[in-house]
Parts: sequence; C-alpha cells; structure tokens
Amino acid sequence: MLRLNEVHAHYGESHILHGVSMKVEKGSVVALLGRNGMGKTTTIHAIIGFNPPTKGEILFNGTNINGFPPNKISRMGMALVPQGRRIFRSLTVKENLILGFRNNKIKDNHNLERIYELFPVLQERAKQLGRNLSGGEQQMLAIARALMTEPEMILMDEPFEGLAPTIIKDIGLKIEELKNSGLSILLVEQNIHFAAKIADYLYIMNKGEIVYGGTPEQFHSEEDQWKRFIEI
Amino acid sequence: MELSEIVIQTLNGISYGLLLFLLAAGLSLIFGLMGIINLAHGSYYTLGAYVGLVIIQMTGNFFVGLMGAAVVLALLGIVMERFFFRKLYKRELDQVLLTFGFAYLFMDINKWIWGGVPRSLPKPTFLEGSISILGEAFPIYRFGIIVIGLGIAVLLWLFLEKTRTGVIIRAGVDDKEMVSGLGINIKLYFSGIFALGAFLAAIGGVIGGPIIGAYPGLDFEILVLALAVVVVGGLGTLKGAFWGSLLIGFAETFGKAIFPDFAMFTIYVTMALILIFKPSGLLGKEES
Ligand SMILES: Nc1ncnc2c1ncn2[C@@H]1O[C@H](COP(=O)(O)OP(=O)(O)OP(=O)(O)O)[C@@H](O)[C@H]1O
Ligand SMILES: [Mg+2]
Repeated sequence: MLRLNEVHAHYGESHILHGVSMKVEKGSVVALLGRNGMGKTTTIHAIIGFNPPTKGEILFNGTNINGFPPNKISRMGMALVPQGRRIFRSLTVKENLILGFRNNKIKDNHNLERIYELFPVLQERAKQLGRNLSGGEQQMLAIARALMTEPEMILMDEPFEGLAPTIIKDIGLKIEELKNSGLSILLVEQNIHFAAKIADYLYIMNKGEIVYGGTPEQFHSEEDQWKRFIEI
Repeated sequence: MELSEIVIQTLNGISYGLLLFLLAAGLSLIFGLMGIINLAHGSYYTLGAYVGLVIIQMTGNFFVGLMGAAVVLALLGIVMERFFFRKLYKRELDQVLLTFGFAYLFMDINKWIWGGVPRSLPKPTFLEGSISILGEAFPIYRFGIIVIGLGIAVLLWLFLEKTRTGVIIRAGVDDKEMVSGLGINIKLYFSGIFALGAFLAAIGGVIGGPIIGAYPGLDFEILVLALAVVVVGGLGTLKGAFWGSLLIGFAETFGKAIFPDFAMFTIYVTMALILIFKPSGLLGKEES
C-alpha cells in the first residue's frame, strides 16, 4: 500500500530525515514511535505532500507520489489527521465535514449520515463552530473530516495528544473500529503500550532515522534493542 | 452639533463607510487567504474610477461604466496574481516591495494618461438632486451608495456563508495547507479572490466617483483608510471589514466635521484605542 524508500526531507537548510524506509501493508496498522523532535511529523508531512521529500521515493499503490501536491495525494486515497488536530476553527462542524466531499456533492448526505453514526456527538454539534468544541470533540472531528474523503489509507499524527484518559479510550475504540473496517493506518504515537496493542508492526524513529522495526511480539521480546530510544 | 447635522453626518458616515467596505473586504480576504497585504489595492479603486469614467463618456450609461470598470479590474487582478504574486507566497518583504511598486506604477500611469487635475464622474440621472432632512439638503445619490453598498455586502455574505466555494475560502483563511490536504486545489481560488477584490474595489471607485472623484494620490489616501479598516476590524474576516469600515467611515466624517484640521487624527485615535483593548481587531481571529 505505502512504501518509503530512502526518504530525505529538509526544512529550509536543516536536514531532518536521513533516508527513511518503511512500509504499510494494505489493511494493517503501523505505528511510528519516537521522542519529541525526532522527525515523525516531518515523515507524515513528507507523505501527504506538505513538505515533499528532497530525495527518495514514496510509493502509494505503486505510484511514486514524491512531488505531488497534497490535493492530488488526497484524491488518490490518502487522508491526514494532523498533529494538533487543525480543524477549521471558524467553520461549523458540518462545514468542516463537507469540505472532504468530492465533486461538489454538497447535497449528498450519505457520507455525512455514516459519519454521524460513527460519531453521534458531531451530529449534536453540527451547527457549532469548530473553535467551541472540546479537545476530544475536535479530535473526533479531525478523524471524521479525514474519513469524509473516503480514504484507503489514513495518517494519524498523535491523535491522543493532550486528551483526558476517558476520551483517549473512546477514540482508541474508534481507531480499532476503523482498523477492523479494513482501513490502512499509519499511526504516530508516544504511548508504546497502546501502539503495541493496536499495531501490526512498529517502527522507532531517532534523529530522522528508523532505528527499529518489528511486530508487537518482537517488540516485547527485543526491549533491549529499542529501550534507549524511547521512554516507557 | 445640531440634530439635523448629526443625522446628515451619520448618513455620510454610513455611505463613506460602505465605500471603504468595498475596498477593505477584498484587501482583508486576499490577506486572509494568501497572506498578501496588497498595497496596490487602492490603485484598483482609482483605476476603476478612471476606467469607469471613460466607459461612461463613451456609452453615456453609468451602470455600463460601473460593470465595465469592475470587469476590467477583475481581469487585471487575475493577471497580477497569476504572473506576479503567485511566485511570492510566503515571501513577505518581496510582496511589500512588489505591491508598493505596482501602486507607484499605476499612480504614474494614471497621471500620465489623465493628468493631475481631479476628474469627477457624472451621477446616474435618476439619482441626481437632493432631499430635505430636518431642513437641510441631502444628496439622493448618497442613498444610492448606501443601497448598493449594503446590497453588495449581503451578496458577499451569502456567497461566503452559503456556497461551497465560500466554505472553501473561509477554510483557507483558517488553514490553507489543511484544505489542500483534503483534496482541494486551493491555489485555484487565489486568482478568483484577487479578481473579486479588484472587482469590488473598482465598484467602489466608480460609485464613489461622483462624490470623491479621481485624482493622483487618491489611491494612497484610500489605501491608508482601508488599511485602518482591516487593522480595526481584524484581518481576514468579512464581518470585521464591515464593522471596521463603518467605524472608520464615522471617524472620518465626524472627525472632519468636528475637527476639520485633524481629520486623520480621529482615525488614528480610533485605531489606537481598538488596538489597545483588542489587539487582533474588533472581530479578528484570536491568537492560537
Ligand atoms: N516548520 C519547521 N521548520 C523548521 N524546522 C522544523 C519545522 N518543523 C519541525 N522542525 C524541526 O524538525 C525536527 C523534527 O520535527 P518533527 O515535528 O518532525 O518531530 P516529531 O517527531 O513530530 O516531534 P513531536 O513528537 O514533538 O511532534 C525538529 O528538530 C524540529 O525542530
Ligand atoms: Mg510531531
């Protein structure tokens, strides 16, 4: 589904990613772990096209999308739930959602109904402005907005950041539901316990390089290999 | 001040404020969506007035001149966005220099073609004459400005609130990168919003023409007022541009009436007061 080959990325002059290679199989959940500032978000931004790689290949369903604009990558079936949620604060919940519709299908309510079933609270708040939602509601909106584009694959950048434990549990269940529906997910996460529980494969990133990769079973038995790169 | 004068100055303030709104709305939306402060925006106003004058003289019809000038300036806006500003997104200093350069260029072109003498535009005949308000004469034409200005404000509001394009533009003001991440080619909307801004400014230039006229230097005078509006109202919001325009319109007309020698002073005081109590402007986005 998604494969990164020797991806390098820069912000201006600073070289952030140093040859990142990883892959996400169709229908699987892959977690990307690592301390703050190690290049996880930079990887996500390289994939979605916000900050295209300076070198290397990003193959999405076999097509090298390196250099494609984000709108084109999105239309190929890739969606983003960005770090910090980035919902449109001056738009209503419903307006946030309909932006994801393709081809002016503003009157087609089918997608919207499906999304409201998954996140009933968004229907209750449909007319409220994004800025007036709680953190948890904003996160649900960010996930719902991504789903509105009917993606094959979704990039989630720290979806639990800054949320209360009960809400983390709610959203965790939704993510598992999405996994079970067959969506491919690349999940950036700080909480290794949750990541090891939901993911089929885990990568650890350190200073712009992948320093570990393994299944949850390997991950548990090979603690000595990755312990120095993250806090437990 | 007598009551009649207060009423008349209030009406003047509203009509002047609505003229400013036509300018400030575009300035504010262009900034909101693209991050460009277009210092050539006042030039769209004066160019609109001159082009409108030429077409009115040719056709003898005010409204043909109005629409003609608006369309010509919209095309100019598209050309400027497409061939110049598009290359300068996120390069603030270059943008300031380029837009300022254009403003001077247009001023010189205007001076060269039309000379330094102020020109006045004719009114449409059915809006000539005046009516009496509490014993004082008030030109009917100013009501015309109020009606057109309010009409355009309502249309703009409907466009931004009720259409998908409007939703996309407002989302782009919030976070245009994220809009593109949802599969929308936001750059397609940049030319459109430039065209709209220039279109509205030209309408302002033509309908303001019978009162304010057109003369070299007007572009900068009106630009300063429009900038004051967006500072007061907050950048990137239509509502802010609307209420900011009315406020600056009032400050300008009452300022001129009460302290004729310090008209600009009242505007600066208004700006300073707003900025002290609400640094992001009346309806500006809160810092996040
Ligand atoms: N827009 C930017 N301009 C310049 N440098 C940046 C920018 N964004 C991130 N960086 C730098 O790139 C490096 C990697 O940042 P990145 O955001 O990818 O880290 P991260 O792993 O996502 O961290 P976190 O867990 O805190 O989100 C950091 O050193 C950061 O300072
Ligand atoms: Mg990050």
